[in-house]
Amino acid sequence: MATVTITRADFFASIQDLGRRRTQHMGLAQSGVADEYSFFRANYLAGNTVTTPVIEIISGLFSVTTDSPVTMALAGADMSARANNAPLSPWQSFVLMPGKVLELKNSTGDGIFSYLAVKGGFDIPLCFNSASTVARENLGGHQGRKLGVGDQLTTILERPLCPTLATPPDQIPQFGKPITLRLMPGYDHDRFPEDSKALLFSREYTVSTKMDRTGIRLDGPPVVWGQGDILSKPVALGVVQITNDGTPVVLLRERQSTGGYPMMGVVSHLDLFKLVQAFPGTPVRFVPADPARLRRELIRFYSFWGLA
Amino acid sequence: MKIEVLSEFSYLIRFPGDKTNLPEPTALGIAAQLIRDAFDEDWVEVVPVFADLLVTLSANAFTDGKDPQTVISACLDRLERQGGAQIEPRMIEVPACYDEEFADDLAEIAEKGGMTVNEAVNLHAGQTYKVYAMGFCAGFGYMGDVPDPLRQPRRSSPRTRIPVGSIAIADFMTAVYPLAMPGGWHIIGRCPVPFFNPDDQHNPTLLRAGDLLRFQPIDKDEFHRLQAKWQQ
Repeated sequence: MATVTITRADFFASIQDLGRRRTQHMGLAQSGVADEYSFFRANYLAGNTVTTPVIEIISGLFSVTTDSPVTMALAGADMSARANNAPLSPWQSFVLMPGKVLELKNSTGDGIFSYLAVKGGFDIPLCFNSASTVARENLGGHQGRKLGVGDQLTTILERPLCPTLATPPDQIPQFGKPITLRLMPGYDHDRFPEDSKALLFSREYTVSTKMDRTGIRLDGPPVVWGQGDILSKPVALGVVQITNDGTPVVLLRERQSTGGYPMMGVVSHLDLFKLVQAFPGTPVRFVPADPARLRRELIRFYSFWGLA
Repeated sequence: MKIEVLSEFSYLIRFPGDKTNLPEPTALGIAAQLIRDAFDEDWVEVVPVFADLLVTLSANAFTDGKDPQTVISACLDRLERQGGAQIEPRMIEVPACYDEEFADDLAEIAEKGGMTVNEAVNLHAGQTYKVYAMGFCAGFGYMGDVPDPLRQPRRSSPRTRIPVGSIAIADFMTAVYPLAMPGGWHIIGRCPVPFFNPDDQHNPTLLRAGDLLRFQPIDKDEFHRLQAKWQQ
């Protein structure tokens, strides 16, 4: 097996897979990758089952070395990567040679989340049937925490090598464009004042700087609730909750399982992958959407990856 | 009960009730179990919280023309037919130390309710609480109902770190912090027993929605003895 050593981890990098199932009724967070498309693609390029745990790197500034040759794949955000002393575009696999460095630098403005897969995956113990890290709970991933300099991850395979692949250009998503979020109205939607609902669907919002794996706050005209306190409810992935000051927040995989703020509905699962890759300042619009149509699209997505 | 299509693979089942008239948590618990049994491999999350039940299914639950909503409806019909046939909730009793060392806000809560600290403790420990929901963090149970004189809204400024085991109250709810977390509830004591044990991958939480819980007051010596025992 190969040992991959982290040599730089300035911001937030962690082991992630599709997250946990069947744990939210115990109060545990779902967790898992923010951008499933890039995650599946990274594993596909590395010759893996697409749900194999990977390293999710937020905002670059991350590097690794290896003690023996490893086929790796990089997908998602473009962070001006270099490998084996040469520039490396994402969306392809490559072999990192012993003693050489894979280095992700600053963002180029094209995406936030990068996914690094290795052939066969890393040897990570499962916690609640998932390798995903939840730093808040100090559970999962590598010792329950984000990756740091000096951490060593071993590959499961003795010789983690396979032929390298590239992604056809028409299957590489373009991040950094204005985003339309298809919102399935639900939860407290019908109880919001008419002009609040109209506002959310007619005005432009922008991605704010306040974002992490639990959620993304949007800047823009405040959405008024005005109905007082409500009972906490179970929170689905992609919920748009409205905080006391009227800010819409889109909740992501590391959200709490219950929420006490009024909620407008749920964002299309596939649109979340674009949202999480958007830079602060990116324009966001909401359009109402029908769950049945989005469901057919999502089932096609999962069947493409062999998961439905 | 109303079934709402929430998203691609999720439904929200709304039980009648509000803050002053909550549905029995055991009813949501029975519904949750009926739905889990009905979908077998194809349920991803079934989460009861106060008056709402979130059901998230896998893509396979929708393929080949299957209509999960009729399956959920059938489960809810069965729940209605069972009606009076309530399951017996589990009764859990936990030791609770209300010593001032662990109870930063107890004196204030007592004063606002026009009581002595002792009276406040007796009131809190004299009640049997229902676990209405699990959430906020791993193993955290929202329990009610706190007796009226102890009810206070959340603190205006949350604390950045509430110690493990802290007993807290806010409005009509009480809870025990299973992990050290930030929080805005009032702290009135501490439990020496763990409410979350990640080593037990099948049953990591002491509480489940629908349980009943009572606090058994203990002194500081007993607290330290029990805490030492549980930390071994």
